[in-house]
Amino acid sequence: MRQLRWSDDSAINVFVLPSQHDLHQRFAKERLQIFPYQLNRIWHKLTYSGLGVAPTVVASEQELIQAVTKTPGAIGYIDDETLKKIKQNKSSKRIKTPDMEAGQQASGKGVVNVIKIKD
Amino acid sequence: MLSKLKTNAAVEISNRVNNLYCFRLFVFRAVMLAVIFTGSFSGTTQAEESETYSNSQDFQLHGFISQGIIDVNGSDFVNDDGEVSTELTEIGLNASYQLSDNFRLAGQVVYLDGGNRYSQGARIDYALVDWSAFTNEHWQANVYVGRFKNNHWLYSSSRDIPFARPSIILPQSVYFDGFRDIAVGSDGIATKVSYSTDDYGNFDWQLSYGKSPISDEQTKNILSEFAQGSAEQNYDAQTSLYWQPAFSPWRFGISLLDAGFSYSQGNAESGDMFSDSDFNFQFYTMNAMYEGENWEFSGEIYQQRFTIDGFYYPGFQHDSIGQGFYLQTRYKLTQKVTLLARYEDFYLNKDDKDGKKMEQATGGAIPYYFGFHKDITLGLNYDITSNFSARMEYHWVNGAGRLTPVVVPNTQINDTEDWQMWAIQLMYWF
Repeated sequence: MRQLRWSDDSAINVFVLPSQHDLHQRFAKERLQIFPYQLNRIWHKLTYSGLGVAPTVVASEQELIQAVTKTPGAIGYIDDETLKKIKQNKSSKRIKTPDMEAGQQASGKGVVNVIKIKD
Repeated sequence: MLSKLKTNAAVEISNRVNNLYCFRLFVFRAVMLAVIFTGSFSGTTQAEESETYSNSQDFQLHGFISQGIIDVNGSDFVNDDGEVSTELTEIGLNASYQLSDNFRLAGQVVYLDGGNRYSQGARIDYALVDWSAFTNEHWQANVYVGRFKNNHWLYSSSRDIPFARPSIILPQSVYFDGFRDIAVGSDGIATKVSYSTDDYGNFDWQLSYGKSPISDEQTKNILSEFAQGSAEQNYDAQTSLYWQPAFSPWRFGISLLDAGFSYSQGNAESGDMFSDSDFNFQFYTMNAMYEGENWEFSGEIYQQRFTIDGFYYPGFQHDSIGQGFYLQTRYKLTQKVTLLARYEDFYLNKDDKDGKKMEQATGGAIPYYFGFHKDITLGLNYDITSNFSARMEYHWVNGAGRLTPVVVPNTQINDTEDWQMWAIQLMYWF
């Protein structure tokens, strides 16, 4: 699975945290089952060989969620603790957090879907 | 939604996770969130906000800058006087612009200063149109037209990216700096076809055809400092196949190369002592790589065939088969510190591994140690931040088989069989 596009053929815009960020390390190893240094190598190869486009690196989780909400067809990851803080600080109508398992949520245009990834 | 998630979750990031069902199967402690925005957004409040990130992947600018010091004792690999040198500069800037869903423009300019290793100055590493010809759940096919970068050997795509390659100086029997500008890419057409499944893993097949311009300085570097004529590459055809079994830390590859060159004698006033000539170079490699959490192993084994028709005098014939390999390991001591050890062994003629026959045949003009190249390398990489690293390494080299000029070597400076070098390099990239 090395998909570059959504099922409607639009481009997937990927946002990630810096490679040494703790959450990035955890996400890569635990979710993607790949070591962060392997991701770096794949992305460096894409970026510096003209072969393709690597994910955009953003500095923090706050920046990541901003980037994802402002970019059509974007995807990223944040810690659920961060999401709770964001929800406490400001009402975010655009961010829907369905209490469902991933994959059961119908999507809509212009909507941010937050999918909890659990065991 | 599930299909959307399926097509997205792994996004070139992971070829191992098939879909989000798999996510749920994995046992882990932390709860994380995937945040997905689908469709185009509308509404005044959003529109009023900064659009810093929208289209952020349509145009991308990246680059790197690195500077080091290098000291070679006993050969002219970097300089002729053997002094500590700062001729270890690599600067690059690249841009990528998505023209449409299927077409993308990309280019990279690189400035290099490596002393005798390659010519000093700026060059265009690649400038291409990338056509995303076909893509679905399992298949992906791209066609690259223009100046493309070669991607066939284990480190050929990262050889000129300081922080992406494994060491400051790569195994010279494969990644010979004297051939850098010819080997790093070509003007022509290249294709890449990828196939990924959870049953058989990932396959990447690449095919390229083109040629590289050869400057007069390169001509002198490769052939002889006395060559007054001009060399050109007539064609360069390469193909490679890589396979990573499903959920495996191993990756295997093979590659084939066939390239033709010609030399045109300089005009009468130049006093060129060399004749018109054809050269042919063939190169076959097999490689394997293991990427574990702390340990990494990689190696390439290769054979080359080099023929000359002419050059020294009309009708001169030369045909030799060279062979070599290197084995490399890297160990992540901590998250920031990586150690490297490598052994490389190469000889230019499999029927004359110690070079003695060559020395005899040339009446002693070319000493035996120009027939081989062995290198033991130890190195250390320290990742200061996510995009700033320091690296140092030491090489013990035996033999002069990978020094420039190649065809007519400099035996005066390179008068010893054993030579050493050390280098330190700081690298920043964005």
